[in-house]
Amino acid sequence: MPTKYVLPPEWEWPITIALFIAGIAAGAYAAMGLIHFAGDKRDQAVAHRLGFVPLPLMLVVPLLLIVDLGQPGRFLNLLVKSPAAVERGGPLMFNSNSPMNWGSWAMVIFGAFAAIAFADALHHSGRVRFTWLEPLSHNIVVLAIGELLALVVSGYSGVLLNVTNQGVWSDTWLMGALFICFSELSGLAVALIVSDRMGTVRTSAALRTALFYAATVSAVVLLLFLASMAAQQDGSLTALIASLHELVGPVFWIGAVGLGLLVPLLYLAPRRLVPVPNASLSLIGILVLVGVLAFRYAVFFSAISFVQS
Amino acid sequence: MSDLRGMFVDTSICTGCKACQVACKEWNDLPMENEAAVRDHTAFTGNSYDNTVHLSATNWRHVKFIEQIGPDPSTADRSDPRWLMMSDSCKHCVQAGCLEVCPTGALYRTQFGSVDIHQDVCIGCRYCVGACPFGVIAFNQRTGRVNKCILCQDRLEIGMGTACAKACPTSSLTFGTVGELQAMANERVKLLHSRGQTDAYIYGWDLGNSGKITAGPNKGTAVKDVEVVGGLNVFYLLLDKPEVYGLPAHAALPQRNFVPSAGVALISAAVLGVTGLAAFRRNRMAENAIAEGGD
Amino acid sequence: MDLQNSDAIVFMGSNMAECHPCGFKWPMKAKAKGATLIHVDPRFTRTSAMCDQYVPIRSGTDIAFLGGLVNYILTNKKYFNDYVVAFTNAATLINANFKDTEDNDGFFSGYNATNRTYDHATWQYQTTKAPERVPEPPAGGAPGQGKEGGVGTSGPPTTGTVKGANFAALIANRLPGQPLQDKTLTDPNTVFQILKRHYARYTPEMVEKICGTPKELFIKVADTLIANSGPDKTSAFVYAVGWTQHTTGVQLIRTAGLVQLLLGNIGRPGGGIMALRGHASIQGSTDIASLYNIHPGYLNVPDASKSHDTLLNYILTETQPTSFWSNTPAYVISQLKAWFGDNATADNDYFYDTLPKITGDHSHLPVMVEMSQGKIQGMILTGQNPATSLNAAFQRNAMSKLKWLVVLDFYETESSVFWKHADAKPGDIQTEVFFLPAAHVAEKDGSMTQTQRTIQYHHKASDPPGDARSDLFFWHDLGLRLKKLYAAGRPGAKNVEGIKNMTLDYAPDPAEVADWIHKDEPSAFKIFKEINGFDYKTKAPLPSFANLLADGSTAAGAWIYTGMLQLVNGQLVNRGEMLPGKNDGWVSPNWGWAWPANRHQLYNRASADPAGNPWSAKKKYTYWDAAAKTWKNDPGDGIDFAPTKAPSTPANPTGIGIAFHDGASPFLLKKDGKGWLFAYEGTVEGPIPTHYEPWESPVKNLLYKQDRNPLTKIYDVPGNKYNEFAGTQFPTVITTYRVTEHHLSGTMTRWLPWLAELMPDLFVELSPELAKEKGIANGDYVRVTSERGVTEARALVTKRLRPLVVNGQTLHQVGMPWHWGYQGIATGDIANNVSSFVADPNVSIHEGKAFTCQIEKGRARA
Repeated sequence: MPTKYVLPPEWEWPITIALFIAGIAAGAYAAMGLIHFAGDKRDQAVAHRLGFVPLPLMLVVPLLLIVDLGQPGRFLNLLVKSPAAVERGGPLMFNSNSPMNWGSWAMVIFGAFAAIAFADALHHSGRVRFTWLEPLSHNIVVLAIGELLALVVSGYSGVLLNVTNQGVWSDTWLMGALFICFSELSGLAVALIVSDRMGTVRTSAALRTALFYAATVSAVVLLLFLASMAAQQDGSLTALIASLHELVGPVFWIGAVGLGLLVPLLYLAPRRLVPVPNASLSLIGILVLVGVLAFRYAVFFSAISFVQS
Repeated sequence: MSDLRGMFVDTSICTGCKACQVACKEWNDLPMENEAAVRDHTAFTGNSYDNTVHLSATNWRHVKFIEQIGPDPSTADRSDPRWLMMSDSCKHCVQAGCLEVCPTGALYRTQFGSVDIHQDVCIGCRYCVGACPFGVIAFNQRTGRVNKCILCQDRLEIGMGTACAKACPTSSLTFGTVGELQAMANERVKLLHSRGQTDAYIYGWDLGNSGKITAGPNKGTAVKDVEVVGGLNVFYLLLDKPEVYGLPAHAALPQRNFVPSAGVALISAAVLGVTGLAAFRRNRMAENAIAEGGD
Repeated sequence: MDLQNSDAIVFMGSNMAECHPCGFKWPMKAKAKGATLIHVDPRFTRTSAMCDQYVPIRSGTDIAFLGGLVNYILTNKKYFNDYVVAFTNAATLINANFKDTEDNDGFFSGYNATNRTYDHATWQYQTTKAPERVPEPPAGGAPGQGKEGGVGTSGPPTTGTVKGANFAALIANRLPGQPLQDKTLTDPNTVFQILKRHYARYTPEMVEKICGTPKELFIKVADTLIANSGPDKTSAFVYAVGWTQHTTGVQLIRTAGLVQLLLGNIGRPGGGIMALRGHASIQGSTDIASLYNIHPGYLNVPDASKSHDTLLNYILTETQPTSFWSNTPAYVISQLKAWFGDNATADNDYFYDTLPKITGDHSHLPVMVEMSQGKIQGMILTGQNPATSLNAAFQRNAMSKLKWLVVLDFYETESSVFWKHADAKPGDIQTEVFFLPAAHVAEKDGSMTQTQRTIQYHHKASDPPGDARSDLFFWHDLGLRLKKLYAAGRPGAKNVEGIKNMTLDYAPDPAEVADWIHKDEPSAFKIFKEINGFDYKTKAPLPSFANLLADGSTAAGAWIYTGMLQLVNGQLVNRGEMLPGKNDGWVSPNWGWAWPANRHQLYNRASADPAGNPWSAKKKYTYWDAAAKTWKNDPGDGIDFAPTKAPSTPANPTGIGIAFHDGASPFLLKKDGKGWLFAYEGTVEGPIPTHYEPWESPVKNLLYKQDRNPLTKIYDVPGNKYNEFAGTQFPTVITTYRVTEHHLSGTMTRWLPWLAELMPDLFVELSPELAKEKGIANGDYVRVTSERGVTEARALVTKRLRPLVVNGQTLHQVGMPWHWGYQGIATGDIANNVSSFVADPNVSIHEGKAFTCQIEKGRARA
């Protein structure tokens, strides 16, 4: 078990929240794209409203990163080479081996797409008219690229955790997939809340199915993750479960599994498997969001608690 | 290869004097790890003669002490007593996990093949901390950047060797070109084997030696040279299993997971995309079914 | 460096890897070449970790162990016969009335129980008749200065001055007879036979019973040593204060001398007994007189109890007619000339009379006892920390009786603030303390002499911080002030010519201080020159002690150092600064300069057989070149013998000094030129080392009725109560020691952050077995107690410590390093709170290495 020999990177609250928020932004963008592609005209109101979501969140993310890195200017080093970094090539920083570089570039560019979506949403809200924007914001290529970037934003951090030598994180290949799943869960949850608040029942119905499906996929990926840990000869699963002590254990099982997966699976199933008390879709969306946050926490603190144990 | 500089750490002649640790701190002007703990009498560990515990941002070098007085620590049997000591530091891996994940170019490969850090470029993201398979590179709370042994880059640039090797009284630490050091290490292993100390082997490069542990809890276990992550420019002669020294038997680069992880992520994204589309499609169909049924 | 040539090395009483880590590279080189390394020690240390054999032993029983080796060598006839017969006093006949401890319950003949001393009369050699003494002329000296001369008497001849004294004639008139020998070694009065009888009961079984060393391990050591000694192999012993700091310390080292002489391992490459001195220049500080009873160059300090009343009597008492010490007159007079300068002449005995004479033992322990009794008013303390030293509370208490205390150090040591100790009552202490910041070694010029007698000169690297000054500045300035005071005239001051004439002309040349802040730092180099010696008229440095004369025409501070400065083609060469050139070889004669006369291996004539041929090609070193009629040494070492004295030269009964010896007598500092298996003088408690228990021991002496060294110096004063001998209250043996990470009382290390964190706290090492018995867990606070006090330490429970079976009983040993105190970054309790004042009778060294204690879980203070 390599974990014994490594030091923890000490990524804690700011990073957890930053990635939670970035995940919502990317997921919301993805949900917006999904409605664009899969919905009909009647669904677009929700899509337009969702356009408001990614940009403000993506503006919060760098603030949290600044909190974590300690200095405002440091984030720039991820994008532009410092004169001291004696590397060949142009002035831009890009290390294709580093998921963090992929992520930082993706976030910056995705920010532009989030801005377009935001402007588009403003346009459709009728408060400001950007008629010139329409061909761009509704362009399928633009949307496709935006979706792709959202995908990278939601998944890179999971891949990043895979590409370390920490216990739990680097023991599987499924972190990226898990992050995309939970990011999508949070995006759909936001979409569901928006739709529910707007009273667009028809869109809500589609979204709740989508959320149910996404939760199903996520549950499968999580099971695969646990199975792959168990499959490791060195007893990672045992170690993982052993590591889930203090807060991490309850947060994982109650928060991530319970709220993030079981709640949508139970409430949103087209045919309910077990009887559950009534709850509004908004509430379910909120519970899912809490579950996704719990997932982020459990993931980040699992490796740390693991090292310290 | 001839330009590569590194160190050979012969643990069989390490006396645990810690001169290397002090020389490192002196040359690199590193502070105490935890002065408050020393003053408050909480720094004593009781872990043999090791009171600095680990490598860190202020301990770029650390001497480990492993007491093996007899085959089983829980019994009174004190036969074949050994006290293993090892001076640990950054291994300056030929394929360095830290360097590969560094998103800013702060970590870089020097002209000597070692891995140095541009302190003014480092942003303190700690990705390298999580990536190093040996737990070497560490976050410095004071500067908000990472630190580790930099193979005395400043000394090397003016033609000197490392401070630690200079201070080592028994040549347990030897600085030189990696090729020369490998030859020296191989000779040393063969000498020890010829004297019956068959537990000696090389950790870092596979020079073809193999043997058997002669004392301690792992007595009788076969050991052999092991190449680690493409080779270590700072490599070791060990007398017991790597784990005994706190070294991973199978160190791996973090990058091993990149492509598979990204691939699985893409697949999951595709599945999610499809299920999303399916959800809308299902609802439309259900809608249509209701509509049709209503007619 | 010579240790690299050894075929086997026994570390005993030394933890070389930890306490002399740099020198340890040489044993490691020997090991790489195939040598067997053995560590005999109460604790498994970092040295043990490097050795092929670890051999446990009970602290303080080394003579039993080494005596066991002597017995094993003798009974199995494994001694190096040719070497032993020719080069040692094995064949010499001892007075027939000599009685051994075997016949006398642990006492030799001549014991006086009333004042606990020995009369050495029965320990003497049988000799041929001494040459008839001729009447001596009256001693020289101006009328009125000398009293009646002792013409024609056999006692001290004179009380006159040395003016006109013919030292050669006076010495020749004191030649003894030649020692009688039986080269077959069969006469019952030969040293050899006496030795055999003395050690007959030191069997491997007895060693196991006394030392707790398993018999097989002991025999393995003996066999290894024997297998690695002889014509083509040599073995070495390495010791440090683990041997010296016992009430039997001197005899303990002598026992190793016996082993090495019997195995033929002295004076040969890779052989010898390596004394590892305590720190960088402690050898130098013994050479240049930090001891109360030795003047520089090992000249005895004038003693009121000896025939030292005049210079002539001093010289005639101290000069040995039949050893290299026959040259004493030249060394003494040159030294006085160096000290007192122009006005020092034969007429006034070179101001010899103004030197203070010692009246007893003025070493550290008795001085502190007197201080505790209020007999000492003031103390100047430099480079020492008595507040954490033996029976630390006693010493702190003694210091509180002082009127004034001056401390020169570079940190605020425990001693400089002895009143800050938790148990002190500062309100009751009237001592006025002056703390003077001192410069560190790197902040001043000077020289160091290390453990191989190699002197190296070093230059100041930086100015000291703030007001810190060198010790030299302090003493020089103090000297100048005293001179000034006495020059002005002090009412009632007597015998002040010495002080007034002290040569303190060490003001620096401007070039020496050009780069530094302080322009009045005395010139260390000028003192270095004075120590080396010079022709008084021309002031030219002298190349060798052979150039020193007894007529006042030469001056030299310490004869052993003469030659470290050389005039080469008119250029002054400081050999202490020299570095090896290419192909300098392993002796490396150009790396520094070893006293005397750059001889690295002492007594190296013994590396050739009696005929002058190398014992073997492999161990060739110094040898006789018959064609060139000279001794040669190919690696470049100096010949420690008369350079052209042929091996076949017969002993000359009328020859002075080493001319008295034959050409096969390598030990030129000995009166008979032989290695002494039997020391008829020099050791006060017996000619042959005998096992006595430490002063505090949980077990009785298994060999003799006499449990302990009968001549032990004991201090029966309040605050220094001894633990009951072989009692039950303090059943555990304790030894104190040092670790690599700290130095001595920690003054140089506990303030250094980098070292403080490596060993942050005082700990006591104990075995899991003892820990279990006492309910102590690793890391717990424990109390270590004795009659003197209590020390609180953290428990370091480790299997490196082990219980021993001593005479059938399980006995525990613990170890505690003594680096800590209450000042500095890394602080901790004082290990020496529990040790005592008790000392070896020969050199007054304490017994910090073996005493008894009780150990319990818990804290010492609330």
